[in-house]
Amino acid sequence: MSQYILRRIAIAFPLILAVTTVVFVMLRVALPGDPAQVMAGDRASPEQIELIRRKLGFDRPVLEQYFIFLRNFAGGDLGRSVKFREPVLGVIAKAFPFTVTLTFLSVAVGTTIGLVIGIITAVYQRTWVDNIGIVLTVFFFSIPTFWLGLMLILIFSVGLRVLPVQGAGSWRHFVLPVATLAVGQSALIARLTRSSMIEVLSADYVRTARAKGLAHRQVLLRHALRNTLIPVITVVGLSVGGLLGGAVITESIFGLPGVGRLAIDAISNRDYPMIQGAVILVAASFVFVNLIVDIIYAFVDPRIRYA
Amino acid sequence: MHKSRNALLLLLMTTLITMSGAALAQDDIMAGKGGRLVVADANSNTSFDPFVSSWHSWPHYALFPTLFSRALDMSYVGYLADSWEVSEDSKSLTINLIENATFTDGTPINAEALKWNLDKYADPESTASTGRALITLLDNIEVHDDYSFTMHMNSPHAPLFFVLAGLEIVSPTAYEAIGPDDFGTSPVGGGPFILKELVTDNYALFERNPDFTWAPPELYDHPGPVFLDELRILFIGEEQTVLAALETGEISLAGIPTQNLADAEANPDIDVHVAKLSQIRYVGFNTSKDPWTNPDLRKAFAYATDRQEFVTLAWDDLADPLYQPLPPTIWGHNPELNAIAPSFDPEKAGAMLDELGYVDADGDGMREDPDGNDWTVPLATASPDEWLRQAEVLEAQWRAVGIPLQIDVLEFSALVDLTTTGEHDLFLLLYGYQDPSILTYFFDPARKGGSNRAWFSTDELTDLLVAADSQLDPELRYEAVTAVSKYIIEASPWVYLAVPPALTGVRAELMGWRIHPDTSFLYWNAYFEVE
Repeated sequence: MSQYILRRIAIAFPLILAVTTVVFVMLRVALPGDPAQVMAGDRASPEQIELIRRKLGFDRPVLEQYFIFLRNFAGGDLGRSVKFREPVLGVIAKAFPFTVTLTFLSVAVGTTIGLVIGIITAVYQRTWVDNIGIVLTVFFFSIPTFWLGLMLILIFSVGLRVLPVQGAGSWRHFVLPVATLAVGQSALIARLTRSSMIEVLSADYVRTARAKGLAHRQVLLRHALRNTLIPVITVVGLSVGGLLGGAVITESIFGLPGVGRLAIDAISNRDYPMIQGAVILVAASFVFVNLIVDIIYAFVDPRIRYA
Repeated sequence: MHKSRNALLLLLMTTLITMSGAALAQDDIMAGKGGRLVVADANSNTSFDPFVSSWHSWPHYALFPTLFSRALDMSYVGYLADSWEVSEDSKSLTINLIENATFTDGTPINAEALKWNLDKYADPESTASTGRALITLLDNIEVHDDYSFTMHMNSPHAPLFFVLAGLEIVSPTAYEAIGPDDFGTSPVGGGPFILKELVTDNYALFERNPDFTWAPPELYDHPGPVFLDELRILFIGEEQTVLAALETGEISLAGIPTQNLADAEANPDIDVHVAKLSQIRYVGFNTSKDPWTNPDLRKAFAYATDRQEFVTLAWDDLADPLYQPLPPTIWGHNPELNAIAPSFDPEKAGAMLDELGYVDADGDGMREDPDGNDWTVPLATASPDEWLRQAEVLEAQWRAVGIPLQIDVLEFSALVDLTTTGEHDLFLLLYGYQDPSILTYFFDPARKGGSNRAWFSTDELTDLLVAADSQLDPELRYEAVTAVSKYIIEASPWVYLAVPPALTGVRAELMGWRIHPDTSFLYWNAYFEVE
């Protein structure tokens, strides 16, 4: 197992480098717009834009820029943000805790609720409980995040005045953003858990367990749930990886200064170093989370072994 | 000996009484006033170093003073400048500074500090956007004494006071000690506020500068310090979030989206201020590319545009229709020029297009080009809904005269970048400024590939622009600017569309505030009632 982890970590570096390289080239070759133009403002002459481009080092050949980037990256330097004029690493380090908090809270809440609903609807399949569960999960899964976020603000902040609209200063600031993301997450997990659980409940080993006289609860929790969790863990892993890259819409609506908002802002401003920093973070998050998911697989299903 | 000692004692006592009296009077003025003003301003979310920032929002000016300021009648008044004199040839400006101003690091705001700042803005290697005019304009600065200096220019420059009113003055001592890499996060100025805390991409917290007593009297009821204890700027830009935060009182000041004006006005907790921006929306043609090289074709588009309907549909009548390159909110606008500008006349537009060979040969309602091929007019526009709505209104109006418009939606940076290539066709854009010299930036031949997005210039227009920018006499300058506007109207490199509204919502509990005619927020006399 430890060899497997080491190998995965070793693979992670070239993977992150490959993603970063693609983004590096795409930014400079395929993406229209120019950080020097943005920085120069709307009254600049071509000479002034060129001066800024030269000062930022964007006038050099792409390959040379890339090698400079690699050299700095190896030394732990992701460059300075064009917009903020601060080291990219420092800016991302300030934003990442907000995104991590939002991600883990919303995935934890959403997954817990989703599991409970999924198990209940599977156990009571083809009853009115199941029907209500299906309707609700489809409904919640279909709600657009931006609309739900604004509705929650209207109800709980503007209407009832019980929660703040925006900011990130206390736990109260996270309630609405977490609820916004957890709703969709719970619906997804509930649907997945239900279908997986129904399949598992009809499996031979569950029937055997029942035939042996085990209590219903024991059959569910000890035998069925464990196998139901395999696909759920995969989806949870993907959700965590995706959200760590930034829940852009949610962060924007609730004024949360996280990585998603930072990345979108960086794209608008053609802040190349900041975009590259965010991409490295997203790639690293996905690799790390997938590694954790693989490790959890082995604990949940002892049949899975990593050579 | 005794006599002189008594006189000295008397002088000392008089001074002490005067000082304590002034302090008491100041305490009286400030009694019961204070609080923290929270505003949302995503535009401020940049470096606070004025030598690198391309955007200077009003909160930036809360940290740094300027040499001049604009009074409510938009005339220039002294801020750090106490008095000034322009030489007869208009090429030198002598400025006497106020003598009581200090930077927040304790160093004096004197002539040497001003020279350091102005020289830095005028450095050809400077990337600052605000002081760029000084690079070619400033010859040298002659310091006469601690508080007086003369700027010698290479040529007379009419917008000089406008330029100087925009230059933030930093502490040279602090800048050199902190260094350019970190000054943006640890700025030291001499404005009414001091940066207390900055969390990048999140918020900035300013606290009152207790030593600030040099507010321009033409603008403010008292010399300072400001009443507010703190100013907190949240870097959030999502319109509906900002509006909700204003409704709940989390923030005290915000721009109101047009579609939310009625709700905001109905809210007793919010005072709404309605004004017009010093900004215009226009459609530009790439005049270096066929067929847009033809001024008659460009003019036909102007005749096909119903500005009144445009502002009704795109802005619920909150914007003003515009027929010339300068809006009424920028000095130099001449309302008489509206009479010579192309206004909505679809028959005339159709006749002009017919004459140019753009006719509907196949009877499908859309015109073909003079060669009989299908004609498509690409209009590049920014992606936000507001811009798209404007483009769609134009599409409907132009379609009515048989112009087949194709709307290309681009992200804003990509749109601006496209206009520098010279390969574009039509573009929907804006500009915002407070001086007619803006037209030089848009029609200077040297700025094609930069801010001259219409790629339009002629020798005659260049001469007119130079004349307007070098004429310091206000009456003569007005005439020169009118000549520039008239020339641009006749050449039609743009179709002028509208002057957008500035809708500001302020919480009712905030007292003493004002909105400047340039739409910036005057917080100096603003306060919350405190115990």
